[in-house]
Amino acid sequence: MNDEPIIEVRGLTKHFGTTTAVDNLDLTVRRGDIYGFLGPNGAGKSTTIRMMLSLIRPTAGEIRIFGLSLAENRSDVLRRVGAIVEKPDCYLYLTARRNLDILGRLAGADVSRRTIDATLDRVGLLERADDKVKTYSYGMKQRLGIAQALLHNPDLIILDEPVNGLDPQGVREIRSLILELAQENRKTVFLSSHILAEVEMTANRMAIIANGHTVVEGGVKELLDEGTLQVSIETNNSEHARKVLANAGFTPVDNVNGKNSVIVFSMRKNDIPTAIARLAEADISIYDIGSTRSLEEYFISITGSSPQKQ
Amino acid sequence: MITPVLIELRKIFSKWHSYVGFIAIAALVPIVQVALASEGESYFRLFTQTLRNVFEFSGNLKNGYLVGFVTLNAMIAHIPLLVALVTGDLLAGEATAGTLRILLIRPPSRMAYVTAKFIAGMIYSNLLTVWLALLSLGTSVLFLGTGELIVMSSAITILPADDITWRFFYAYGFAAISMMTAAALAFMLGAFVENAIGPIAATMAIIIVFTVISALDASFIQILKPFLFTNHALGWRLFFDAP
Repeated sequence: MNDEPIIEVRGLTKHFGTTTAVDNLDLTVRRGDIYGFLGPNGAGKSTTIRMMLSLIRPTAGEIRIFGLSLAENRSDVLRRVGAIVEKPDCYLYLTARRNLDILGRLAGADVSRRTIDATLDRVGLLERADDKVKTYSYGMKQRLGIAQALLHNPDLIILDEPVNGLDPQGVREIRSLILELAQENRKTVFLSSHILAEVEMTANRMAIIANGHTVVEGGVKELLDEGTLQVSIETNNSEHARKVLANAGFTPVDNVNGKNSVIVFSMRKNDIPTAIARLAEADISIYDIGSTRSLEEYFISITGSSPQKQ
Repeated sequence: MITPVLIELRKIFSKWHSYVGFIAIAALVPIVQVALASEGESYFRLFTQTLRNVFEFSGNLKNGYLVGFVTLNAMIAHIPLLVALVTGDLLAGEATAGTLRILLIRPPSRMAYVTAKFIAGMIYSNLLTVWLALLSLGTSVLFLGTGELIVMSSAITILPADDITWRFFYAYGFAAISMMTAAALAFMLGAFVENAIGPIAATMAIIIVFTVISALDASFIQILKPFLFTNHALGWRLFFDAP
């Protein structure tokens, strides 16, 4: 991984009549990144992706991909990009193999049977390669959508909600595929998702957008470290411990694990030693302590709305 | 450009409704042929009864040329509707299915896709005309033989057997242009909507309205007539007017 920018978005704006869908958006995606693109519904994620794929024209701003202006080098850029946009739409009246053959030819891909079969095998569709797509489940269509995005061996893969409609096994497989693409094949992956866990588990960098503009951008780990943690503490006197921490200004959180001896508080990582010190000063014995990062809380804190979870 | 056109043709011929036109022609032509072969003599006598007092008609007059002519005359007004069924779906169908988006994120330009689809639609339209020619004229000549062609319009024209082939060649060429006009209309309408039914129905409606207007003789309509493509659609008959 290096710092060479693959996608640079500067001042991107899109108006639909009087509605501003994307408002002065800035993004930088570097080579080898798995870049999570998060935002609540209506934040402008799909509109941004549609502009990045030249499906619609920006009202203002610039998109540079591989260092080239998208507006001036559309064909050269798109030759090196594979994408799923919104839904995995394919020709329902054709087989998966025929779909890949057609779409691959248009992308300038090697459409030999060996390549197509290898791509279908990679997404777990080889056994159904000769079935018409209209007989596929939504999850299978999603896999085929990913296959068509990968067939021409693109350097940049833009995936809009790639695990939608997949069962847990399918989600795991696609997650490993994304990681494999970035880590072993040195691809850059731009992953738009409303599933926080998905971004947390796969992306190394992310941006959160709200109301059409970037609210925050950076490394996933660094951004999460800035957020609050849910800290579970098991003590010998949970009632007393709850009062002590509440008086110290910490925010209690509902304990969902059902264990009466455990209390849960929301706090920043740097505040954990203080909380422990307060409990010790109150002669409360601590048996166990653990924390979970909450991207959801972080997300809500900066966008003001709740994303969906899977 | 060749690759996108070939891909479009593959897509067209992968859909069952693309064969409706071919099946309809294959079903209708034999019906017209059988009807003419069995009942044609009585119709022929009816139309020529006044002339029979003066002229004597002899030879193979109920031949393949006559059946080909009548079939073309009977079907030329309806085949554009079959063509519209496919060409109206070329853009609108992809918009409905969402596959237009997956095409547009690939290197070829929008203009390349639209041009490829248009060319493929025209090829389809012409293939349908060739199919009509093969079935209506080809099989009629094969089964009923050749002979003089008697054309009855404002006057009766009798064309010698050796002076007919080129007329059919041009007539089918003219019919092909008529069909391509309807195909282009449906294709254009398909660019404005995201539902294939709309352009197909609108093309049918335009053809019907224009045909009705073309048939009227009011003076203000005369001004419009040169601009109505349906007014020219029957121009193929002009090739059979002069001896």
